[in-house]
Amino acid sequence: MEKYIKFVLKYPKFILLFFFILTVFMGSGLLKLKMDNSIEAFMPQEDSEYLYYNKVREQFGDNGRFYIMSVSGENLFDYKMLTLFDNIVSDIEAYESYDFEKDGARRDILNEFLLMDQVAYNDLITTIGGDKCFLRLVERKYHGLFGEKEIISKRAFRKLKKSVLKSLALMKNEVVADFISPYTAKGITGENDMLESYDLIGKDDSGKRVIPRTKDEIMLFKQRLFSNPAFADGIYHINAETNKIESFGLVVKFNNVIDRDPYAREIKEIADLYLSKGVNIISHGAPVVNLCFNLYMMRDMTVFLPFVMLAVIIVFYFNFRTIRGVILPLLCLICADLWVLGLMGHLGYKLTSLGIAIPTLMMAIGSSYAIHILNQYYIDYNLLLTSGRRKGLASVMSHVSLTVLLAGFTTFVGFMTLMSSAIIGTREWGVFSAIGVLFTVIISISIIPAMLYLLPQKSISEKVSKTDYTKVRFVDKLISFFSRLSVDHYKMVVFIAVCVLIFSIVGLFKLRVETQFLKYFQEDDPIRVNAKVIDSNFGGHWGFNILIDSGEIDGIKQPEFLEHVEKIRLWLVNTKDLHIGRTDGFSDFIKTMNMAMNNDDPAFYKIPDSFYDINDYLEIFSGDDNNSDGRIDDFESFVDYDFKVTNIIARLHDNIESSVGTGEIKRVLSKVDQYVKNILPEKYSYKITGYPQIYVKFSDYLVQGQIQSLLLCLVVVGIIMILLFENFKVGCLALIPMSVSVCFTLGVMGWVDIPLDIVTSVIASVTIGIGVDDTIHFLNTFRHYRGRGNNISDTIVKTLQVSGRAILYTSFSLVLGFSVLCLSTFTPVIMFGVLMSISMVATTLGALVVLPACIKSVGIELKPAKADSFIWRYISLAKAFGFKEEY
Amino acid sequence: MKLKFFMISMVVLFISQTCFGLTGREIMEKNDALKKPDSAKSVVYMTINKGKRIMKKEFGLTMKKFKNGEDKALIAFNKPTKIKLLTHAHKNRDDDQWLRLSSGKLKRIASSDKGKAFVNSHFYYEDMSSRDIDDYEYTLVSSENILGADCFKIDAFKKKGKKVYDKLSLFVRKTDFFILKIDFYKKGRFHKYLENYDIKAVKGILTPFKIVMYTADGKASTHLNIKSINYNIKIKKSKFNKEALR
Repeated sequence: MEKYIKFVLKYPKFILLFFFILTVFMGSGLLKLKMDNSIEAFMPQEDSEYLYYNKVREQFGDNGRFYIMSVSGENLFDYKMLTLFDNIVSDIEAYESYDFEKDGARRDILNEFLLMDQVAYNDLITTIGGDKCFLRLVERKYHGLFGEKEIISKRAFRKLKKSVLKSLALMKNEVVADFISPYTAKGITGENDMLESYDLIGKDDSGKRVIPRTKDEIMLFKQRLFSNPAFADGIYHINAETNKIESFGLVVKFNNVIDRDPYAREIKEIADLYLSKGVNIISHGAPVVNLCFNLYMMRDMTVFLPFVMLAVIIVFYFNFRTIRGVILPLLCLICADLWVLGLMGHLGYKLTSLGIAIPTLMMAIGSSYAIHILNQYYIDYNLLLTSGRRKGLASVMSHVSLTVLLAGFTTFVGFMTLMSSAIIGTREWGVFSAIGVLFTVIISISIIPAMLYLLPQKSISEKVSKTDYTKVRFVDKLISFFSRLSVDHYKMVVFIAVCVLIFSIVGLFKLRVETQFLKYFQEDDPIRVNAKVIDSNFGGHWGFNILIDSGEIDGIKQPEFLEHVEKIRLWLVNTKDLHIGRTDGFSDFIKTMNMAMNNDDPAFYKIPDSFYDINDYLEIFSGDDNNSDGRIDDFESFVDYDFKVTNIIARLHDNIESSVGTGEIKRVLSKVDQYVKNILPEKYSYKITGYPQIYVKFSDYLVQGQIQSLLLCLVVVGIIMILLFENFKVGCLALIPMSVSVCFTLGVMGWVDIPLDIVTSVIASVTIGIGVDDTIHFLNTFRHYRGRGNNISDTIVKTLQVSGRAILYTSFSLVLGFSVLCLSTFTPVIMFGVLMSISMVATTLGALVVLPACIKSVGIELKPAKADSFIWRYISLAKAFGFKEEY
Repeated sequence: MKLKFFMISMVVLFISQTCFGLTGREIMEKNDALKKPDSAKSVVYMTINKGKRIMKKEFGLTMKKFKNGEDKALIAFNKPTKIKLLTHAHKNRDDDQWLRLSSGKLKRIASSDKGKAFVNSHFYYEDMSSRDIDDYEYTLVSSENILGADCFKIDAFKKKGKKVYDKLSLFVRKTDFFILKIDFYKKGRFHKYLENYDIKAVKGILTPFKIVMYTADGKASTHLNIKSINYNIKIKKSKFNKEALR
C-alpha cells in the first residue's frame, strides 16, 4: 500500500490524467445502459415452475401481461368518434402486421425532406398524403417533439426522422401477437339457416373498414356487438345505470419479446395523441405498469439525485469547511458511479430494480471512504508541516488507505457472496456492487492523495487545524457524548441495545413479505385510478392460466370435458374473494358456433351434446393459422397442438380498497388449486401457471434470496474479520453493528407495517455495505491506538474522535441526502429515502455506541496475541495486508 | 363463394407452339384457353403439415359443368369428419354453398371471405375457385427453370376488387403453358407458394396428381394427392341437389 501511495504522490498528474481518461471511457457506457425490471431479468432459469411457465407461454402465448385500454367519449357511436377509434385501432395494428410494401416510399419521403434547409409541417403532411397510418405516426412524433411549431430546422427534422424510423423499426418487429377490439373481432351468425362469418365492422374492396354512419349501420354494429355474450366486458362495457355501451375495450397481447417497454411506450404515445383529440383513453396492464415504474424511477432518480448530491455537498462543507472537503469526496463518488454504471453499459448489462440502488450504494460507500481519508488528512495535517508534503502525505495516506483497502476488501467479499443467490438479478447486483466497491477504493486512494499533493497547502484553512477541529463543533459534542455512553455507561448501552434488539425481533415477526406493485403508485396516480376503471369494466388487468389436460388427443372436443371446464369457469367468476372478473376459454368459440348453427338462438349458447358437432365446428371455423403451428390463430391461447389440453385464462383484478399483493395472490391460487383438484375427475389433470404466479415466486425468491444471501454475507464478513484481526471475538463483535442495524430497520418495518418487498429488501444490502465499512474503520483505528499502549477507555475515546468523526460525517451527509427522496411522489422512492435514513442512523449508532460499549464490556485486546499459534501462522490476512508492520 | 376446385381449373390442354414474342397477357390467355373437363370425379387425400402436427383428411370430389355454363361441385369428406359441402358456382354472382354437418344439420354458407383457410389447410377459398383472367394485369418478367422445366415468369397484379393476393408470380411451362408454380404475395409480402408435381394426361387432360401449397418459409404445407380421377363421366344432376345432402 505504501509503495502505491508513494507512486501516486510521485506521479500525481499522470494518475489524475489516467483516471480522467478512464472515467470518460467508463462513463460513455452510461449511454448504453438500459432499464430492465422484467421477471426474465431475475428468475432462476432452472426453476421448474418458471420453466413450465415459459413452456406454456411458448405454446399458449403470454396471456398474463397484456396492454388493456378502455376507450370512451361523449358519444361513443358518433361517426367522428368511431372514425377516431378506427385510427387508434389501425395505428396499433401497424405493430401487429407492418405494411412492408409502403416502407420504401415512407423512407423516400423522409430522405426527400432531409435535403431541405427548413421543413414546414404542412408540406410534410401534404407530401405523406394518403398513407394515413404513416401520417399519424409523423404527426404524433412531430407534435411530441416540437409542439405546434409550423416550421422546423434541418437539424430538428433529422431528430424527427430518427424518432419516426425508430417507430417504424419497432413496427417491423410485429411483436403484437393478438389484438382484440370491437373493430378486429369477428362474429358468426346462423340466422335463417344461413351461416355467415363477419367482421363486426365491414370492410370495402381495399380492405379498409367501413365506419358506420347511418342509424341503421350503427344499429347493425351494436347488434353485432351484442350477438356474442363473450364480447360483454371484453370488447365493450355497458353502464349498468343507463344500460348503454359506455366504453370499448382493447387488449394488446405481445409475443414473447422480453423488453416490452419500447412497444408499450409506442402504444401509450398513440393513446396520448387521441386523448388530446378528445377521446377518453384509459391505459393499463402489466406493460403499462412496468413502463410507468421505470419512467417514474428514472424521473425521480434524475430529478432527485442532484438534490441528494446537493444535500451531501452541504453537509460535506459544514464538516470540513473547505472547498476540497467538498470537491474531493464528491469527485470520488461521481467517478465510482460512472465507473460501475458505465461498466454495466459497456458489458451490455441492464439496470434492474435492484441495480437501481447501485448508484446510491456507491454514493454511500464512496463518500465514506473519501471522508475517512480526508478526515485523517486533516487530523494528521501537522505531519505535512513537519515531514514535508510528500513524506507527510505518504505517511498519512498509507495508514488510512490501508484501512480503506481492508474495508473495501471485506465489503467486496461480502457482496460477492450474493453470487450464491439463485436469482440472476441478485447475482448481478452482488457482482456489480462488489466491483463498484473495488472501484471506489481504487478511486479514493488514488485521486485524493494525488489532488491533495497538487493543491496548494496554504489553502487549508486555519479553522480546520487540529485544535479547532476537535473542540468547537456539534460533531465533537456528539462524539464526546458517544464516548461517555460507551465508556461510562456501557452496561446501560448494552442493555438498551438488547432491548432494541428484542423490540426489533418482535417487529421482525410482524414483518410481511409481500410485494404490492400497484401500491408503489400514489392513490391518485393514473396507474391506480386506471386500474379501478379497467378492473370494474373489463374484469381485470392481468391474468393467469389454468391448464386442464383431457388425457387424450382431441380429448378437449369431448362435451363432457368441456362441461367440466365450464363449471370451473363459472365458479371462478362467481366466487367473490378470488378477484377474478372474467375468464376466457376455448368453449366460448364452441358455444358461439353452436348458437350460430341453431339459428342464433341464445338458448344454444352452450356446449353441444355431440363430439361430432364440436369436431365439425372446428373444421368449418376455418380461421388463419399464420404461424403454421396446427392451431387456428384464434385458438392459440386456449388449446395445445394436439387438442389435448385446454387453457382457461382468468383475469385478476384488485380489491376495491387496496391492491392485491403477492400474499393475496398466493391465497387465491391456492383456493383455485383446491377447487379444481376436488371437482375434476381423476382421468383429467390440471396445472396452474401464469404471470401472477411467477410474480409471487419472483417476489419470494428475491426477498428471501436477499435475506439468505445477506445472512451468508454476514457470516463471511465475520470470518474475514476473524482472519483479519486474528481474534474470534472480533468476528462476533464486528457483526453487532451490522446485525443490530439490519434487525432494527427490518423491525421498524414490521412495526409500522411496511412490507419486505422487491424494493425494501435492497436496504439490507446497503446497510451491510455501510456497516462493514464503519466497523472496520472503527476496529482498525481502535487497534491502532490500543497498540500504542492506551487503555480500553482511552482507546475508545481516541478512536471515536478519529474514526467516529468520519463515520458521523458520512452518516450526516447521507441521511440528509436520502431524506430529500421523501419529497418524491413515487412510493418506492419515498420508502427508499426513509428506510435508508433509518438504516444510516441505526448503523452509525451501532458502530459508534453499541460496538465500543460491547468492546468495553468484553474487554477485547485486539492485539495479534495468537499470531504465533498454528492457525494464524498459515491463515493470516493481516500479513497479506501488511497489518503486522503497524505493530 | 366460388368453389370450382382449383386443380380442375388448372387442368389444361397441351398446345405446342412457338412462344417467342408473347406478352404476359398472351401467355395467360393461352393458359386460359386450354380445354376443361365437363365433369370429374376424384378421391383426394389431403395431408396438412403444421409444425409437429400432421392432419390427414380424405374427401371425394364430384363436379359437373351445366349447360348454362355454371358448375356444381360436391365435396364429401370421409375422414376425419363427415362434412359435405355443395357448391353452385355462378357466372355473374357469388357462389352458393351448403354445408351439411355429421349430425345432418344443414346450413347455407354466405360468407364471402375468400381469405379463409379451407378446412384448416393452407389453401384459401380463393385458391379453390376458378380464376378469371381479367382479375389481374400480367407482365412477363423473365424465364426461369422451375422443377426442371423452362418456364415463363409472369407477375400478375390485382386489379380493383376483393382479391386476397396483391400479386402472383406465375411460372408457366414454355412447352405446354401449364402452370408449374405460383408465388402468392399478400400486403406486399411473399406469403406462400404452390407447386404442381406428377403431371399426367388423363383422357388428354393434363392433371397434377400432387399439388403442394407451402408457407413462405417452407416449414408448413398442405399436400393434395389425387388417389383417383375420372373426367367427362356421366353424373346425375340430382346428386347436386340441396336435398341430396340430407
